[in-house]
Amino acid sequence: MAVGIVGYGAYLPRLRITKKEYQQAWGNCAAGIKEKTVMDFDEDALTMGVEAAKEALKCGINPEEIEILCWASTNPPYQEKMVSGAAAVMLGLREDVIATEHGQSIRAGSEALLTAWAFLSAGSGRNALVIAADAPRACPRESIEHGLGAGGVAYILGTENLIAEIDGFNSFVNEMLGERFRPAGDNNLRDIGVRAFTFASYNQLVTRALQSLMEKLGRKPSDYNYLVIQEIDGRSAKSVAKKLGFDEEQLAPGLLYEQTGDTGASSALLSLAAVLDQSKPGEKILLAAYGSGAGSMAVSLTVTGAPLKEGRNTVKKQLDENITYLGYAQYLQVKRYI
Amino acid sequence: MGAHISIPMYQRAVKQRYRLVGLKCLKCGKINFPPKAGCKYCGNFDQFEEAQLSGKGKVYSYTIIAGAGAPPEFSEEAAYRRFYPVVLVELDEGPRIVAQLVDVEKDQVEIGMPVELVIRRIYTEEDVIRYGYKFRPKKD
Amino acid sequence: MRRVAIVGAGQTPYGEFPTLGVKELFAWAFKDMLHSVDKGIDPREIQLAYIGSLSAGSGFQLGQLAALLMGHVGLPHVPAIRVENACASGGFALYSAICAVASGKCDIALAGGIEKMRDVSSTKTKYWLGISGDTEFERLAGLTFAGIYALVASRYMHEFGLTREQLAKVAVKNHRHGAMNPKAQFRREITLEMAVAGAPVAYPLNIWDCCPTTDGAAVVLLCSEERAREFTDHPVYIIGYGAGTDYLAVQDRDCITSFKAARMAAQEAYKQAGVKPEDIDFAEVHDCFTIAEVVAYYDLGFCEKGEAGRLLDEEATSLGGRIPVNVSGGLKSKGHPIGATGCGQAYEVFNQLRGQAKNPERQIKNAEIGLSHNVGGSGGTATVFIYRREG
Repeated sequence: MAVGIVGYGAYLPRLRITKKEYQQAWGNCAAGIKEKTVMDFDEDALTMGVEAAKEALKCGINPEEIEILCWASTNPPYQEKMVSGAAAVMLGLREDVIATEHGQSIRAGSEALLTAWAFLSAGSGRNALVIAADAPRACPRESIEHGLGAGGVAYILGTENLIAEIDGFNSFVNEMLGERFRPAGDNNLRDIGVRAFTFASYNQLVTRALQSLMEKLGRKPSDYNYLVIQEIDGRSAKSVAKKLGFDEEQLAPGLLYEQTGDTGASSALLSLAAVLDQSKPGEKILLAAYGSGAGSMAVSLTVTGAPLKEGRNTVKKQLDENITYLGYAQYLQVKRYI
Repeated sequence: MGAHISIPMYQRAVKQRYRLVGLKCLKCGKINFPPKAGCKYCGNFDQFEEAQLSGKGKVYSYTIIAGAGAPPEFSEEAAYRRFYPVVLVELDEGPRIVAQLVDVEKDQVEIGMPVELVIRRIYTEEDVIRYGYKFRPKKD
Repeated sequence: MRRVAIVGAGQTPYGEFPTLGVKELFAWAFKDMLHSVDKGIDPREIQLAYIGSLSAGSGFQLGQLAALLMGHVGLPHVPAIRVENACASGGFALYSAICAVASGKCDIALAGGIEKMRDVSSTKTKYWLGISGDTEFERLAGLTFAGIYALVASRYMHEFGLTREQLAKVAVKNHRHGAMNPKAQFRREITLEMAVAGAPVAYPLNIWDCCPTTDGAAVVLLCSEERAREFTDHPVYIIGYGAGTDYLAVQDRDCITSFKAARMAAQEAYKQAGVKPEDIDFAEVHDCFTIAEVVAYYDLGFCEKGEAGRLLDEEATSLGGRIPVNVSGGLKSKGHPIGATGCGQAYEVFNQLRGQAKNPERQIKNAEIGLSHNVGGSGGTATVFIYRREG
């Protein structure tokens, strides 16, 4: 039984802050962004995720037909308290929806996707809703903060009228100390400030996942039309892709970091949405997610041909339209840093 | 301290706040929102069923609240925004409801403008986030 | 039902009294009332008391305030009832006391009202002031009362072309009147330019559109017609009294540019009095916000729907105009100690009708019939009284 994507929706908040604001405030911007997305004062991962889910549900699936709900965020509204119930009431989902919540790293979005896939593959339901939404935080004095953005994305998985079929996946984990973490009881991300150390972990795990999945499926880079690699900065994904023999055209459609910053657990799936927005039947997509500390995951998809909804709110549209720019002082206020 | 909406009180209206669930009168067919024990339109007292409102409507009237004009629950938000619009929206199904209007500049607000529902944080008290409906200019 | 007369009325000055609490303020108004009774009265003759208050000193005595206050003036055994209908608490205290006398339950009753608003910070004030709308669905949309009235104003401007200047004219007029009233909180005239350009509170309303918070108390002594002449040869009869109620939340009302509760109250009062709006010589109107007075003109029948702006342009409601409104300064300039307001309005009408407006320049000449209009919140409740001077 083929399981895949029957609907999806992205949500990027309308607020932005530019690299220039950071340069003016701090003398430099440590992140490879041009600008990045910022949640409004009254938004959080839940409200962004619900927005994305409402967009995804426009594919025609009735909320009551959703039997599985998999939520992912590293910055849920509460450190402890289920989010699924709030999302379910807001969206009109059934009370007996099978709900799972993920959030130990920014790989959480992809974990939620595969969890939903596994439930459907096991015959535990016909439609699943995957929501990933995030807005990582760090101390504004730390350079790691400069690249942190915000966004949400949602997928509806099912077994009929697929937009794209999931045809393979894998997962890797390893112990990697200190490259990006949040101490218990702390809202702020940290790293040890050694970029090469972070890249080494990322490179090793992402490469491993991508290579092994291609091997398993008997494919090579040129068999794929698109490559999505979760972006933790402006360079690492490009670097890994190049080493593996993918070219820029394969990677470019999924690169969002320059305009959104690091959207945490929603990042890889937002990039996938951007790719799906422009995909055509028969095309193949390879995706790799990364979670610090560390783990990776690869997913292979084939675009199957269910038509995309006309007039949908594409990622590109949200990147480019109806934007409001913030000054740095407003940014500090809206993020509740001050 | 004065008036305060307790958490249990807020909880009891979660379906209304998160999803605009109204009560449809089975006698006259109209939807009461917020739900009422007696139908606002025909006075019927006992035949109702839950009905989901679309969240689409038009601005019937509006105001732009300036910082000092905000209720205390909203003072932090007002301090950040300086101004925020509140609209009385006439929903497509008939009921009118008051809510904040978001994703809009204050000089863009006008009577008659089409709006749609969005779920946002309303305010936080006792560290409990109160989510609920707001509106934004209708897209597309 | 029996006819009911006012034979005495008292009021504290309205303003800010940091050294006086509710008990002292009430006693001040009570004493002022006793002195106004032409032939004098033994306070122990009072048989029943209704006292209006929203929050009794910012909430310190929400329970049994009336007993506390009556005890303080030496009348612990007069049955006393606290009445709460937000800004119309005083009006409903008066309404209740009139009904008690009219029904024959008693001959002499006291109606009073009090509020002590200036003891707490403006933030704390907002916490309890914002409780008189539908708290759950109005305040939690980010609205205070100014915001709710702003919704009314926006819609009124949209439907009837009322201008920002016309709204401001209400404030300018009432400040001009209030400047002449020795008991007003703000005895200061303002210009139209100032009133248009005030700091924004809730568009289209600015700070000059809003009444202040106020400390104050007012009491009215009511008496049956049979016994009125024992106390004065110049009683003021309440010839019509009406009350109305509506959905508390403006979102539940079909029309927000007129308050049905006030229209109901006015119709009832006019019918009972057997007079028409054009018979009214002057009125004390509930202008908690400028737009409230605008709305009241139609609700009270002083103009056709949407015509209030014209009335202001013609200065018909200014002192010396066709129907002077709020010669006391209104809530806007005289002040608005919430629970006291309805009785304070009766105090003003009583004095005007008896030619005792203190300051001759503010005395309305030869007035025979007066009206007062007291609104709770944004029109959830309302009372209207029509008074006539006899003898």
